[in-house]
Amino acid sequence: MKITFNDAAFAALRTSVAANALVRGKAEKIAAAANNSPPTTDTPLEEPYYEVHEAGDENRARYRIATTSRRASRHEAKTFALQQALSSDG
Amino acid sequence: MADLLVYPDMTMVARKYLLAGLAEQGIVGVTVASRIPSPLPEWFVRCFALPGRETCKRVQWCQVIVQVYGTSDEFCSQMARICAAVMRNAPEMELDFFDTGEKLSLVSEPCELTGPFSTEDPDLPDWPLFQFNLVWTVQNQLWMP
Repeated sequence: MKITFNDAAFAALRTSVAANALVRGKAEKIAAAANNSPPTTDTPLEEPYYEVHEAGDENRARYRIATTSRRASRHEAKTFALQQALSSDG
Repeated sequence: MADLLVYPDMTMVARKYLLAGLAEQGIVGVTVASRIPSPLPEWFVRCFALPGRETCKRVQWCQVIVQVYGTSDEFCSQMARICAAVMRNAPEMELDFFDTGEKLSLVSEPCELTGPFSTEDPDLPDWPLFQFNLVWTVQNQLWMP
């Protein structure tokens, strides 16, 4: 039996509105959980520690969660808030 | 009374795997702790588990963070790579985790390793530090009161 993959169809599925919303929702849930981590200093950041960036291409929907500043990176190094949110799936 | 399935303390499990695996390689007397030790030794390993996520009633997906602090990047990089190899080999190891005389294998495949990579501890910014992360598949155990 010969199987032929329809790569264009896979790409269309993975970049569809529904797939994009699914991936974005997951990333936003994880980022929100990470941002709920308590600050480690007396003066918490005004802005969120983590934010979601769209990083998809023509083949797939993709989002990245990144720290927003050097201070937020230090927060992650001390608390592992994003790693914990990833570990527990938000 | 219902049978209880209890997950082990994965920070304890990870520490035992690491110490036993390093000892097999002739590396003994290593300080392995979940927090920064005080006083600070010349080099040490920080090792702890993050909250896991259950995939079914018997199995949990768990992340373990291992950080090697030392006197130079070269030393930390080499020791972190040895520690990473030991921890990646956890599914092949059986240990007496609960001091019962029974050797168990609590970790199975899939086991994923990320790193080691150089990073920085804001509390010890002058210390060379290499970190790696593991994703372990962990089996729970029947609770024996």
